[in-house]
Amino acid sequence: MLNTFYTTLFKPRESQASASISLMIGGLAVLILALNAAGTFHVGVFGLMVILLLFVLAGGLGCYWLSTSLHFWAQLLGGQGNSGQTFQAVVRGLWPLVLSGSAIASKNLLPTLSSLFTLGILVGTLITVAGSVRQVHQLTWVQAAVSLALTLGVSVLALLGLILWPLMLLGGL
Amino acid sequence: MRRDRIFAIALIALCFISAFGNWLGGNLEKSSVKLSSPLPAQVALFDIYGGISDSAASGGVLSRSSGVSSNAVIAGIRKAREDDVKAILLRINSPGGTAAASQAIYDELMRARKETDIQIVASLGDVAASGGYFVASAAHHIVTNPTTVTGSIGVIIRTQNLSPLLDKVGVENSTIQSGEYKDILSPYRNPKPAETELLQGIVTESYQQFLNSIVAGRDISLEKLKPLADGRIFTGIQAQKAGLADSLGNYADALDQVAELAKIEGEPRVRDYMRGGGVLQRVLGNSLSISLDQLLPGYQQTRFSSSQKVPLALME
Repeated sequence: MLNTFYTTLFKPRESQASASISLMIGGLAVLILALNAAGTFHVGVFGLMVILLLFVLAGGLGCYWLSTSLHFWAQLLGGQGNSGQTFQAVVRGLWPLVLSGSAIASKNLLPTLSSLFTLGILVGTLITVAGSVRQVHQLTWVQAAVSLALTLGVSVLALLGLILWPLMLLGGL
Repeated sequence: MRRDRIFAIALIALCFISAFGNWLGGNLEKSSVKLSSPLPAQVALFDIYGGISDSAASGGVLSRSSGVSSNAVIAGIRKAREDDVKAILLRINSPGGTAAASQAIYDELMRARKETDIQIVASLGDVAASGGYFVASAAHHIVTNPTTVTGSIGVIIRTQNLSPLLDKVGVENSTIQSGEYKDILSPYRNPKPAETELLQGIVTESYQQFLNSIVAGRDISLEKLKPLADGRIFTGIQAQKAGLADSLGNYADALDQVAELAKIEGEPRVRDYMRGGGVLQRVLGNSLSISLDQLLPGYQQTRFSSSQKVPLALME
């Protein structure tokens, strides 16, 4: 499993990633993000548990939305993977988030480097998600990047719609 | 083990340890912001919460005493003196405790009062009765909430006679003892007149010590105190009128009073001297610790009414 984990992270072209590896990467990312957030909000064990639960729910919903949208755009652009593979690809693509613990920890020592590290993780996450989708759907880098960009664009629009719709209804009714 | 496996384990461990450190760091930052600063503390805070007894100074990570240990308080007072604090703030919410433990805390506070310039202020919470008030009486100034229940100045020894109950179920009790009074306070019979006299002597003696301590700690005469010290309880307002408290207010008012008495300008730097333990205990303690009261409701009462073990109680 560790071999597969290593290969998935550092030699993705050679990897035969399984659902368990995707689950492990996703779980680790959620756990580390929850620990970081618990530190930011200065909460104890109970608070950490609540944050972890919320992050598992939010992470699941987020990955579901992202993979659904990415799958839609990837299919439109000629992708060949199925929806399950897209979901796993999205989860695996989030692995740079695992490094966020180290990025935040380095903030006290080297704030500038920490900011660059954090930025690198965010950009790296976008690249790895695009790379995973590209591999699963056998797309070109441009097609994968366009799928991801469209997904993010639609996500922003959807969020805007979720905010504006209630406002519209409240104003109109 | 192959190099890539080692690398994978190291990466996971590093990321997890960093994130765990972020969480612990956040909690430590919170506790340090809340109760201390890089500068030395000016005010030593002591929470006298629950029953006062002469128990071990502190528990482990997973245990939290349901009362206050006189040993922990005394150790804290000595540490505060070493740290040259300007004032001690007692936050009391206690129905009392054992006579010896309450007196031990009182004596240590009075010693600090006599030997140093440390100003002592007591802030009374829900209850500061009997032993709780005993401790408070060592303060230069007592701040009470208007509805605080205080007073109950007195000493009590309680005993029961369970023999009629045991007779009903056919249990007989017998004792073999080395002396006449060895089974004093036996729950299997009524006290004998000689025993009652002996116990009354102990109660009277302890009561007198209690009164003398209050007189020594507060600007009140014995003549004025005695009518108030028949075990009755007072509200904060009544206590202030009777001279058992100095002013009405809450914890923030008490802190202002501390600043005024100790001549501290600006916000006083407060440090909780009852907060012990290492990093893990400070971070995990509040979340994981379990008090015996949570597990065994009524444990506190049982503990102090256990007359065989603690015959002399300042708690009702």
